Amino acid sequence: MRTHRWMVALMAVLAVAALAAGLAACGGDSGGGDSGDTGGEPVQGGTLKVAFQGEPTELDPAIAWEIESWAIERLCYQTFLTYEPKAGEPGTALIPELATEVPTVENGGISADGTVYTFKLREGVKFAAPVSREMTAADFKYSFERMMSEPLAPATFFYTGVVGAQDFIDGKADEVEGFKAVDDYTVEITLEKADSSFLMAMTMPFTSVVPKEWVEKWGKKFNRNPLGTGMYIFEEWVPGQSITMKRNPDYWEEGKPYIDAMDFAFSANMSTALLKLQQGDLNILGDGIPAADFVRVSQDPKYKDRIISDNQIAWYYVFMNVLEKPFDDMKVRQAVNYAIDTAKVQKLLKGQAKALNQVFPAGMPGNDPDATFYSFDPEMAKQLLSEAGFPDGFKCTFYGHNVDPFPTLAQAIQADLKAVGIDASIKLMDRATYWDFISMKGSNAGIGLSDWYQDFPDPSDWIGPLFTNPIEGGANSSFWESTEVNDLYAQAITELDETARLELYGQMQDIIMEEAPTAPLYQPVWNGMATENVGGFYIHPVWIQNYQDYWLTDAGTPAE
Amino acid sequence: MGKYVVRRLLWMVVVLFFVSVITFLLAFAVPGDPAKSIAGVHATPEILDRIRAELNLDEPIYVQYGTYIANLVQGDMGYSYDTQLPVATAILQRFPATVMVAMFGIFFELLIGIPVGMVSALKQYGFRDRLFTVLSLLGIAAPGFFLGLLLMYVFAFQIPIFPLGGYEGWSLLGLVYGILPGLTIGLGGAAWYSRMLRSSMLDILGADFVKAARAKGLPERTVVWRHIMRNAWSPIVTLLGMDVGWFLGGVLVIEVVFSIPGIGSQAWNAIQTQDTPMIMGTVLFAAMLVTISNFVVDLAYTWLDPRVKYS
Repeated sequence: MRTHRWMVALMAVLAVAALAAGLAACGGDSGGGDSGDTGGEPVQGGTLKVAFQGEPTELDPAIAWEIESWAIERLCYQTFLTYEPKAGEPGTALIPELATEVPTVENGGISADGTVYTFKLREGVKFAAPVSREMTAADFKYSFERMMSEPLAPATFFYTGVVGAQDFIDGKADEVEGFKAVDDYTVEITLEKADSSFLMAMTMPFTSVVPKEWVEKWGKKFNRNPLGTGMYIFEEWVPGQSITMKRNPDYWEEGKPYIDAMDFAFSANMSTALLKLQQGDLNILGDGIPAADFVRVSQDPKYKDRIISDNQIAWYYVFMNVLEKPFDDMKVRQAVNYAIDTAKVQKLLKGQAKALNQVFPAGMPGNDPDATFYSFDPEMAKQLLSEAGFPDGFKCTFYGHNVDPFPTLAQAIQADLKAVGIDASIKLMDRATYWDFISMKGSNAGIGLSDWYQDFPDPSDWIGPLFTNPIEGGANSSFWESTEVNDLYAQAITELDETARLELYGQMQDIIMEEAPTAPLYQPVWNGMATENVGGFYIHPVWIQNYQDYWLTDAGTPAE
Repeated sequence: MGKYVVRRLLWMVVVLFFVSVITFLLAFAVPGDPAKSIAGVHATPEILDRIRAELNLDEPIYVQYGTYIANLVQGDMGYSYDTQLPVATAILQRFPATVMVAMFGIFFELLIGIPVGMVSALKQYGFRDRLFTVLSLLGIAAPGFFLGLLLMYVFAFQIPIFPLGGYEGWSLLGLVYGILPGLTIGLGGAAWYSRMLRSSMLDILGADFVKAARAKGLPERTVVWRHIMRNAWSPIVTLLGMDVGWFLGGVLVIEVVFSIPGIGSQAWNAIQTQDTPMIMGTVLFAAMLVTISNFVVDLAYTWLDPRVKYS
């Protein structure tokens, strides 16, 4: 036995080292801050390294619908329009991508009745090598029909307003009649009726233009071999590990892209990703800073200055099911709104949340920064409960799923409700189960938590799914409906004048807040982090992290 | 012996069959809707219906199970709902990473566990025995994620000799990525091996044949290796057999801590997204590995201990 001394030594060294590491890790001072520098003028070159906790499920633009897939798809695919590459509300303005201009009634791109949209396409835009041929209007038509006929496509409902689209899905027509390639550079889309959010739906990656020959070449494997007109060419996907992309040398836009190569790593563990970021092996956290790590990171002198935060266009709220007693009573629902302290919720979620007291979050057109519908007022809540016939409150079950921050929120709200006499017992369930559960009338869930993230920054994306058409399996968990809101919504959808349209949404918000089928809680805040050498780092209100807009300040040559 | 092997193999098929039935039932017993996992919460009921029809989710469960088994028998494990990849391909893509972690894990378990167990038994109640007892208890008690992060912090960040997690495939350089995850498993697992070996050796140390061997004047080395260890191996081999099967099925915590794309995290993702074909695939694959390794262990007994005979 000669090994034992060595073993003892090894174990002792490990134990001491572990202890030391533990102590070292406890250090750090307090403080916090937001900052970001633009990094001067863009330069070209370098490799940007990004780490995600998850992995894209696939990269077929007709199907994939999650943050990792979209981030990568948008590097190689493009569509008619996109958003201004800016933070905050300016970032919700539409700009042309493969179209030459954003269609409006003034420029003749939208017919006076709002039903015909004409997109003029850029000439000379080529698909990346090895397809290397010019993209035309026919490609858009092919791509659109391909998406609509794909059985796993999750978002065809955004486009069923196009004339003949539903017939095409149902197999009654062999083309979408309302989607026409007029000539090589003109696409004309006819809608059943005017839809003011249609242009925004045409920014979503689902409408990306894909080359037919490439789709047919790869068949079922097309979803792992993307190719489009974008700034980057897909290079390799090592399952579970990484996706690499390189600059498209034939890209149409002058001076772009800035960065030569993109390297996305998956299955990243957050704690190690932070260490890698510190070592310079990683430039950007793809998922932002996870809630669980935010406090620690924001107090750490090594990281806190690298955090860039911005509101997300999304909201977390309490739904109250108007089919269930006692939430069928408007006064009870208003009482709940008065009882909940949203400022406390914001404080509780340290840096992850901005209190919200209306339906539309900041950044969403229709949001009224001065509006206060319900202040925190437990006395008022008690009074309303008395008026509703519950002077001593009542008992109920409060539902939520078991993924953060729902459990924390549920407890906070339980305490607020208790203070006004509502005795709520919390019931949390698995996330996948939960969304299904609260969408069914038969679940009899009276009150619980929900959230909604934008599909596009248009108030119709809030009112339509959440406050109209209460169907089984839908997103309107309050099962609330009002003929007034239905009428205003129908009007707003076809109203092309922006001011008049927002005025209508303001009226809808007033009615919804008055009848209170929901109690708003907060809008989430995205906390992004990048190394110092990432130039132009900002949080986009729609795309969140828009990798093609960033550059590496130490990369070398100034952008042409 | 031949008959025994055939019987065991048949039993394996039976076990796997029941595993498949139970897993399938469980995947369905969980409320929630795979179609909704695929389409997201924004999808409309029409879209969900279309997806259900495409994936045959609208069929009764026994029809779905029948179809699954019929395909499985022909070697078709189906397509993942989530990624649209063939399940078999997806599992095989991830298996090498799991094998690497398992290999290093077992290597370190034995490398640390066996010497420590031997010293503890031979120097019973000595200083080293007591020290090892305490360390073993620490090893057993320390959660893998904590130990893993600690090792990584020290040996990959403070003293950057190892990479900060990840996996680079099976190459000479790639093997470096397996060391810290393996050591994390090894430190926890070694504790079990050393305790097991210690008690099994202590049982034998007092036996007459050991006394006789010592009385004959055999050198201590020969007594230990030829007389004591040969009789003390059995429980270690049993433990090893279980570990091999278990680790090859994927060690989720280690995979998560070290960002290793293995089978454990794949199964975990599948459960979260209610990806039934993927759940079935990973569970059956892991169950198969466990039954095979147990079978191999049982066969190994006959070789290790000629007194064991199967008929």
